[in-house]
Amino acid sequence: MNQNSTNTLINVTQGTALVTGGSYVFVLDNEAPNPNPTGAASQILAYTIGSGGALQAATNGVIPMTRTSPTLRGWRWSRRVNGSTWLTREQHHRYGDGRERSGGLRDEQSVSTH
Amino acid sequence: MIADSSGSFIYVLEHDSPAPTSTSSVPVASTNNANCAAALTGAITCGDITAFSVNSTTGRLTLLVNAQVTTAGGGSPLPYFPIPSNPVDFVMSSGIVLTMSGTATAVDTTTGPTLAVQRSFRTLTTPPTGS
Repeated sequence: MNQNSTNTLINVTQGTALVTGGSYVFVLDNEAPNPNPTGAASQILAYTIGSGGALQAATNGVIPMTRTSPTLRGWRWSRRVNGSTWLTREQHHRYGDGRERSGGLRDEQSVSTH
Repeated sequence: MIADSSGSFIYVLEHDSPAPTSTSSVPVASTNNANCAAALTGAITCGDITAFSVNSTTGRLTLLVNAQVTTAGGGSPLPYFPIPSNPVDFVMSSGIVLTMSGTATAVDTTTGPTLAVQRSFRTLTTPPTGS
């Protein structure tokens, strides 16, 4: 097991979570993209992994987060039958006795351009 | 905690790496951890990833030591892999463990302890042998 050097993420100062999917690593960032033509409050940045784990920004890799906030955990990557790709988060329910179950879609965010 | 896709290795993310003076089984966070500087130039605090191999028959865990970094003062390999302080999340992809950390860069003393952070990545490569 080898340990490599750090990468500083450019234009990411409020990262909240990492999600892997396909050949990408997605960084959820709780700040608006720049430029921000859609008025999004937050963004997802897509990277590919290069030699030794170095991250490389994907082409068109800045994705305005239009549907929800990135501040909560539990995002997963998925590919649908039509080939579109999404980050989704399930609804979690907690019963009065403390038991917890998950089910149903709580949030979703398209990352289909990547 | 995450495992690789084969279930052969487990990685545990820890917010505060054990201080070199910690002699008990309970890690002690240090504000001047020399082991952090041994792996991360200039760092006085850090988090860490502790790695284990998993016996496929018994499930028993075996610690994977950090062969690249020895404990402060020399000697044995570190029993963990230092990462920048204030880790936020980590994932494994294509045999690489990626960790996102935030390092405090400013504290607003007029309105309270609000924290501005700069995220950075520490990468650990994991060959199939895991050692």
